[in-house]
Amino acid sequence: MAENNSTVVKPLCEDITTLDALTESPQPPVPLLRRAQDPCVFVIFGASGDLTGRKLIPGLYNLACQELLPSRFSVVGYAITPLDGHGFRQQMRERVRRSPDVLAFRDRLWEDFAPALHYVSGDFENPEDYRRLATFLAEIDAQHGSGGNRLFYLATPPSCYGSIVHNLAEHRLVHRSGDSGGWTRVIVEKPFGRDLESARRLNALIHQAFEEDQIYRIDHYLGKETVQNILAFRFANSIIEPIWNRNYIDHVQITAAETLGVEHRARYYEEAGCLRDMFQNHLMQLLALIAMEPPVRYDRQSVRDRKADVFRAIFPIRMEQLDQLAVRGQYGAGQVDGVAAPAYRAEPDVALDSGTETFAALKMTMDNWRWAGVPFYLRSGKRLARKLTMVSIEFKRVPHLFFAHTAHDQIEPNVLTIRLQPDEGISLKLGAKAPGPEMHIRQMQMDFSYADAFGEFPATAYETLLLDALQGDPTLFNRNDAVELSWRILQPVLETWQASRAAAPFPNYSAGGWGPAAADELLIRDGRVWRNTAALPRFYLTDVNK
Amino acid sequence: MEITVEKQEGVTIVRLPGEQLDASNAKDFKRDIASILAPASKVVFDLSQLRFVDSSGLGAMLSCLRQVNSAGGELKLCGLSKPVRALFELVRMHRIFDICDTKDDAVRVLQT
Repeated sequence: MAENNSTVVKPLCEDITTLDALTESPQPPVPLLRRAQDPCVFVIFGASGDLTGRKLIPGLYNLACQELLPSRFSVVGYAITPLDGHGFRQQMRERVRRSPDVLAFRDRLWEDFAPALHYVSGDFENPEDYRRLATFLAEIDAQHGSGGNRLFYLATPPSCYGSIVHNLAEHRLVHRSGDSGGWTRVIVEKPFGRDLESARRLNALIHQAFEEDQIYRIDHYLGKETVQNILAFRFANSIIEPIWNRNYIDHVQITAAETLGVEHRARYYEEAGCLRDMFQNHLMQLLALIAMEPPVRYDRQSVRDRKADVFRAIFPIRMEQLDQLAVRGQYGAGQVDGVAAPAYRAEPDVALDSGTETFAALKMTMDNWRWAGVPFYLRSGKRLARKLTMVSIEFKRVPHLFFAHTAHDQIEPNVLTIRLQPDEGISLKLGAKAPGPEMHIRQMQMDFSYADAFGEFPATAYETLLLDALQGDPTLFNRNDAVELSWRILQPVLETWQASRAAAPFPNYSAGGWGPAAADELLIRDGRVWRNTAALPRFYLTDVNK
Repeated sequence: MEITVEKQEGVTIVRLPGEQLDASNAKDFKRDIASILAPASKVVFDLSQLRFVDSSGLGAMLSCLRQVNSAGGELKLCGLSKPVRALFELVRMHRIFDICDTKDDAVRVLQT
């Protein structure tokens, strides 16, 4: 047992000094994280914005509590809002104290962390302000021995990226790989462009100052435990991979449903719509993780190569096929969870004749060996019946059923459901003999719940990704080719829908429903139905949607 | 899960039964402890019988800490055995929780 424990635990942590004490444990205990080693200054552009207080500083605080930040680490907030370091620390203390994402707020831990926080007030376009920033960073380097290592976080609207990147380069705040004077990395928030052309321009703009391996395009979805678990589930279990292909899988559904409406994001959402807001990033990333070939190793190159392969394999959606492959919708008034909800066009800051889609569904197919002939149905929408993000893998039916009392079409196919939220976990539907003297087949469900198996730790997507960036590991960040490829797939849909916005038949679904009827028809044409719940449905194709 | 609860000078002392808190009983623990924590503001978890905790056990204790903290209360741990203490240190949870050597120490700290 002792030897067994040491072989399992040892690779997880470099600096364990108390292994002997663990040998009494009956099994390996818990995953261990590796502390970031390089000293560093973390510079947040847009530090007075919501993301900083809601996700970034709570994430860094959690990392600090677990001693995962480098021993010499500083944060510099940069924004136009007039504020000094003391004021910034006070604001951030309140945000962390009230954050649902922190492990636990403790004064002692905050006092340890807070001295690392600094603030520089400056304009994103004013060269003089960048000179002050450069001077301040040099002072921090001198005081704390950061060695010139910089991690920049662009938590600003994308329209500011150009001037920030230009000024960072102008003021020699970017060191190329191999330069002396420390490393430089930049984290770029989504949305990364609004179509293929703008994504290309944005890539070109950032590449003027940064090499690709210095750029970390963040999509917090990829830091979620349940999303990362897709790879673990597929490739850490020998029984899964042999059936993960067109020979056994009938089709795949990916659903990201929200009960909320547009909330305070109407101005952004009016310009973006559901396809840009959810498909280009989150849903395409889920699709890539479900469909990718096994990477050679878990690293920046292999994983991201295989994901890009998925996007390359997707059949282009031709405009003349659009009616058969894509559905858009916009919610009208209705009821969500028994509460009246206004129509999208009645929301504040939304045009009365808005042509923006709040729902989209796409059917995609792939031109590769593994997935030939297997459709992937993707959908997302606002003001739907239930908050639900899940992937359903529906397997093929048994070829022949010899049980006399069970009709073939009353046996559900096996369905593997990966629940990303809520109630994170995985379930598998199987046929089983119902108790009794006769052979009747009924469906049962094997279920794995994340909370039951691993406890309810707070959300950690941002801190996972921040730690990765500090350690120089971009595996869970989007690479330029994948970003452009995913835009290219969606481009015909975006263009066609944009051109016909005025004629869009909106609203075409009621708040609290499951989207427009055309979305159901997208599957019914293929003899399939959407899965609207992770729970066991009753009978296939008969009352599953009731 | 039979959790033992005693009151000592305004402090609720909870003794965790059994030698392990893991995936096999963490859910029961969370269910049973919820009603005990609700009215208590000063709580001590006596872990002296515990020999093994896994991530679901740690997650359950963390949930308790967050619940007590969010209600303005305080939670201390005491009586950690050597392997449990080592585990807390490995995952740095010894910084998140306040850990005292003995039950009396924990009560004394909560009363000051």
